[in-house]
Amino acid sequence: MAIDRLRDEFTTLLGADGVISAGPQLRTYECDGLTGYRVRPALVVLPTTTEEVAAVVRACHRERIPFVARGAGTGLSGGALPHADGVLVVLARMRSILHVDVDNRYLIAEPGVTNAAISAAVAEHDLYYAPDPSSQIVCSIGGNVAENSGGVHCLKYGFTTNHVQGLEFVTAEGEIVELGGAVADTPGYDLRGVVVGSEGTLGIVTKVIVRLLRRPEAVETLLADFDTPREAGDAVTAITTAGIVPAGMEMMDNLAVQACEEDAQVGLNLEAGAVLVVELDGPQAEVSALFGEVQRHCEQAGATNIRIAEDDAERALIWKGRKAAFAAMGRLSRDYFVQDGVIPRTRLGEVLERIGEMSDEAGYRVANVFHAGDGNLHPLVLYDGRNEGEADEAEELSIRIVELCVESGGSITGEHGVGADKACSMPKMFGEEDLALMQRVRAAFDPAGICNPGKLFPTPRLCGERPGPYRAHPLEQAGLAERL
Amino acid sequence: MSTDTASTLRPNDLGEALEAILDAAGALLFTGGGTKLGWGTDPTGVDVVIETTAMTDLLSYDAADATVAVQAGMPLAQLQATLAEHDQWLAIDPPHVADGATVGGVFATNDAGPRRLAHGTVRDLVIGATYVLADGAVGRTGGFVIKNVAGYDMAKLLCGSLGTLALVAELVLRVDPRPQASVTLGIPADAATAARIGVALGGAPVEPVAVEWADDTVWLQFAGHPDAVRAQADATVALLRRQVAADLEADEVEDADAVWRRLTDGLAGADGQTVVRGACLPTQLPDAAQGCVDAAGHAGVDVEIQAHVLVGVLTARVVGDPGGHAAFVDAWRARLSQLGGHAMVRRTAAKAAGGVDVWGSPPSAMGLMRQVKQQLDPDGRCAPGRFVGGM
Repeated sequence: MAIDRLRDEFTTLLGADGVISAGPQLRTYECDGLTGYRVRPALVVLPTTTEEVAAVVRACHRERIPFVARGAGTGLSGGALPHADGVLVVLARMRSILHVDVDNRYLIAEPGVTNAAISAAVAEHDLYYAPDPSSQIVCSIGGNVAENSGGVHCLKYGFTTNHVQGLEFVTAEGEIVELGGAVADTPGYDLRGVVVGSEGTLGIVTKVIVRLLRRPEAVETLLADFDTPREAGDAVTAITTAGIVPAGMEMMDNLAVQACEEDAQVGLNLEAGAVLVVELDGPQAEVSALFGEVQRHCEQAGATNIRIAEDDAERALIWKGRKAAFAAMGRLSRDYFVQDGVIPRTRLGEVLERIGEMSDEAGYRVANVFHAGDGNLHPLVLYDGRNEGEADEAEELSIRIVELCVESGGSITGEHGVGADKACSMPKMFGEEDLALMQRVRAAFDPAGICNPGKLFPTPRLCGERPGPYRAHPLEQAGLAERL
Repeated sequence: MSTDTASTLRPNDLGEALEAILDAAGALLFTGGGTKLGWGTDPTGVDVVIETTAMTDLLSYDAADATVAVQAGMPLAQLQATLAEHDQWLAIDPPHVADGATVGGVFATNDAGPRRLAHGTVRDLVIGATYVLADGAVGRTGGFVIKNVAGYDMAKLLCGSLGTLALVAELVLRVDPRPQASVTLGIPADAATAARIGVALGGAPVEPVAVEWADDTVWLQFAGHPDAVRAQADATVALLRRQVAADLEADEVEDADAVWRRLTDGLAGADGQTVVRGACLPTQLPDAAQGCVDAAGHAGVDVEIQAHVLVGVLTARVVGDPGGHAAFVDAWRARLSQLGGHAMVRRTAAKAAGGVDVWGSPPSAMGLMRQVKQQLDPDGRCAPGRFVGGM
């Protein structure tokens, strides 16, 4: 069997502790953050260098065995879901920061370095890496590249694609190439731009060159309570049409407020119909000039109370509450489905009301936590998987909400990615020809079709099957379990 | 560019563009306002030119959503005028705007100006695109919302591809608030001082939107709230006097618009000049600039240099004996390569054409790039030979 040959070959290459082919350890890797989808991989390898990754990929290519790259395993769309007959290439042991250039403000990291570790490594120079997904303490930069991760500050600062200058990349045939680089404007097609966000379907990233930013001089954060999400939505529109680009602007509805408060004790108003978090950053004079305006827009939109973070500690607490929102949902409900749809932000009020109606009609509670500035919703459909039929009905409601987002001019996913989770929803957004053209790019990178197959694109096999119920995902455990 | 014998088609919309492509035989050249036709190697044997200058419609614009959709042939000047009515702009300042540069043309070349420091290039602002391949396949990528990770970002592939993969017919872009006020400072500086100013600014909590070195001067621009730009300029001068030179002169520029227009035009160069774009790490600016001067001496030509200081991109305008332009390009490129940088020719003086190596040696991912070209334009009909590696 080809897979047995590979096991022996990889054991020689990586040593016995670099290959897992049986036992309970294999189970650790059967899912990522999308825990409702589980597949036991045939083989797990843990390379420590680019050359080892390339050798693994070359062997897979020779034997035509599929492979899937995995970072910290925190992804929420099943992008790192293993292939049952394939090799899972775990990059968690490649976690060195290789080079820091303070004066030119860039850093080169291996793919297993966590997002937060990058900023921590340059904090002494007052520099940081801007994209900050909620899982930043455990998620890896390689995974961020695969998913084009955003975070709560991407309205102003952009996404991974705007902050990654270059990649070292192992092609699906095992060749090592550079895409982009520390120097600007590399000649040729922008393959770096295509690889970022390609969800591991084009090759494996082995080094990442990221741009670093100077920490802003001033940061101001406020929490505004509103009676209804629509009023909070009006405040969002008023702030943005006034020409203010907040560093972050997040909204939680009443259900989400209750969950976050119980989890993080931020001091949120449990009576509020919606809470808006607005953060401005930049030069002191700019922030001071605009922060008053933001408060005024909130008041005019009907804010019942405004609380301003007095110091960094209070600000950190507010963000901790927000970033814990998904995990906190476990306190309200045994199970939930989370979605990641995007809508044009001006349609926020209208779409939220429609979601409320759909929730009433279906008889399932929906909590809303979202990036209001960029219209990225995270509706959480709450249910109890022990009751027969609830999982199916809740999932159906969840899918209808995503379809509503697309019908409203938006997207099926703002930051979680398509992966295995939403591959079957891709035809809602793209026509057959659009997808066929993306497949042609995929064929250019991976002619044999062995690099993370079955993800991102709808396939009859995938779309014919029904996944198991979504279970609350132990994000931290998933990340820590990796750190061998 | 040798397109004299080619026929030219000017479709009005996506449907007509598709028809034109389906009807056309042979090699195709896609153009917008035609202001950057000199970029890349001269394509060979163009049979049909498809020009987007009749595709100028605004398809949708929602100021509150800060997104706009246009046909690719809309002049950038026209788009900026429309957005200005709502105190917004597409946050790019490339050259050739007054000459009729189109949004699609700026996208296909990824051309940019000094403000790329703050906003990136058009690559970073495009959120959706509709394109047509030479075989008539029509694809859409991205969408109408700023945040969207569904599917491959095909727009990145098309941006800067010089029309060698597809005709870009429609674009969706994110727009930004127009800053209410700006202040420009002029600081006399040689290349070494400019680089030190760059390092000081990069590590300081000030946020200039453009830092350009030209005419032995660093030109600094701040934009934003009227109270804040003044405070930032003052803080910056104090900082530079502490960190760079205690006697540093810094004067506020009265006619700032004229200065930035001149600097932007300088990126494009003029007829009779060969324009070379070099890139290196920002701190290598003095070496790269000295290498430029040395290369000019070696080739017996004169050269004017300007640089995006914090981006690490230099523009050299070569004048004088056209016979020396090719030697200049080779010599400067060799020096930049030693630094880990590179050089691309953006414009070639008519009499120097032919001998000038536009692209230099191919990048390490050339094989993958060829496979992408092969998949999307298998018959090699889109601007044959124009792109890197003879693609």
